Amino acid sequence: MSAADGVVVGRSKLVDHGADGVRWCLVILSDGYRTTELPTFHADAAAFVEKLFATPPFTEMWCAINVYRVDVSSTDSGADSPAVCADGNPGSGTTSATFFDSTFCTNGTRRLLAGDQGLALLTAQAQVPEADATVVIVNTTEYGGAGGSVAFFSRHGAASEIGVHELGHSAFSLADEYADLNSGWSAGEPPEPNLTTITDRATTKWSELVAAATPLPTQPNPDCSTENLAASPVAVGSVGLFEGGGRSRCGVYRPEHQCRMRTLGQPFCTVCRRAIRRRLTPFMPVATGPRLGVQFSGTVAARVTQRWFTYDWPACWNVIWTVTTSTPVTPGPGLDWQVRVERSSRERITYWIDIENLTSTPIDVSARYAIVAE
Amino acid sequence: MASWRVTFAYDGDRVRVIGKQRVDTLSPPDDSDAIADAAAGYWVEVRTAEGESLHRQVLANPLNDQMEVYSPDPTQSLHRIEASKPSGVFQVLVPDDPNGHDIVLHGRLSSAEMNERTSRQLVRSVLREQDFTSESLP
Repeated sequence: MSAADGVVVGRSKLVDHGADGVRWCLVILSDGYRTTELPTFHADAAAFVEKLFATPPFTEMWCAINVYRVDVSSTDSGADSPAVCADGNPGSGTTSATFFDSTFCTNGTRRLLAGDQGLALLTAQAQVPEADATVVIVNTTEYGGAGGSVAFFSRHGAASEIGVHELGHSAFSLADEYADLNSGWSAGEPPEPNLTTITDRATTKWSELVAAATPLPTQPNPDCSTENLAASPVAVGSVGLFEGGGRSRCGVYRPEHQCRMRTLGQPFCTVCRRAIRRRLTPFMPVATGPRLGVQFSGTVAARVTQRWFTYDWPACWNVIWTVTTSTPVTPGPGLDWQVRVERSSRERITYWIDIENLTSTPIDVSARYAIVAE
Repeated sequence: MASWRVTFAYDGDRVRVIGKQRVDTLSPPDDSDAIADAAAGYWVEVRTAEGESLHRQVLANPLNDQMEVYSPDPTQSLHRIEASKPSGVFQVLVPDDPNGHDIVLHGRLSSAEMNERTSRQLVRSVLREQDFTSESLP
């Protein structure tokens, strides 16, 4: 039921966009995977990386991010599953000896799958001292998870949403946008970027994102005794002031009708995306070099367009291409060229370079690159 | 580029600093503009010895006195339940500013101050390695 019930096997860098000190480092830990089950964890961690990459704004900020997988094997498989849970949902009654001691029915709620967050932080930082965020995948296909300074979530197909939502809290300081508890907002203006009490068009927190034609408040809550679940009065994606958020049904506003901080499975709203981008921007690659070189050279026959390609370029490098000729042909231009880009994978780019010889004689050409950020 | 990683522990209404470590990494950007208008919520602040603010960073409910409950069914709303024994740890990365002297956590304690409109200073600690003295502020 603790670190004595497993061992830290080692780490692997799944996404490498540069030195850890200048990138935002996510660490993915395993719990409840026996040594023979670690290949399953490798697939689960890879799937979470793909999910994160497919989630805006992480897609566009991907070059700011490094991801580590830390293999932690446990004595037993799975998680504790108490037979009796206060919410009336029984478990299997099994007890599993696992490194982070993950257990369902935390706080009497069956779906709350939580473990030792302090040990998870220590383990992550022992392997990756520059870690900025930590999540734990628990080896059970039953739906469950929990938040806090470390997010725990199971292998269930929908549970990784918990991990993304919780990163919104722990790493990007986003508030919840649902209204499950209070009729009114008793506190003052919240500091989180996605809630406000200010309804003045000029001074509300995200005023520059509100279209002039969007009414403010955009969707008041007419009955503060219940959460307003009515359809949006404006087009999906419109930024405005929608009453209800931060667990209060009235008196506080969220930026859009829907958001991942309100409902799992929804995209992050515009304001939350902006907040995540702001936190990640310092970690993006900065201008370096430039590092110069000639990628290829050759001869293009008269009045012909020839295509070259060069593959496996890191997608996070900023590369400028130029093509020139060493064959004097005057007067007039001797060649034209075009670069096309293929994102061949999450991390790689293939450049396709078409070079057209505009003259009536063969010309020698070379394609040069300048890497200006990496 | 150096930062301080500061670890806070909380147990009920007691919050204290249990770890401070220099890390050769970037820290999140300053949130002072967002906090200027804020009255509630949680944030950490790095101050000079004279009390001047150097860096402020918003935190989303770090004391975890409520636990979030999820559902695989997208028609079911998220909700939270009160934690029966709110305790745990959280960490922040703040800049290792040569003029930085103290780190201060602002917020509200879980039970007694739930209905307060404004946050207050909860704990202050000197930014010095191996010095785990932290002062709970009334």
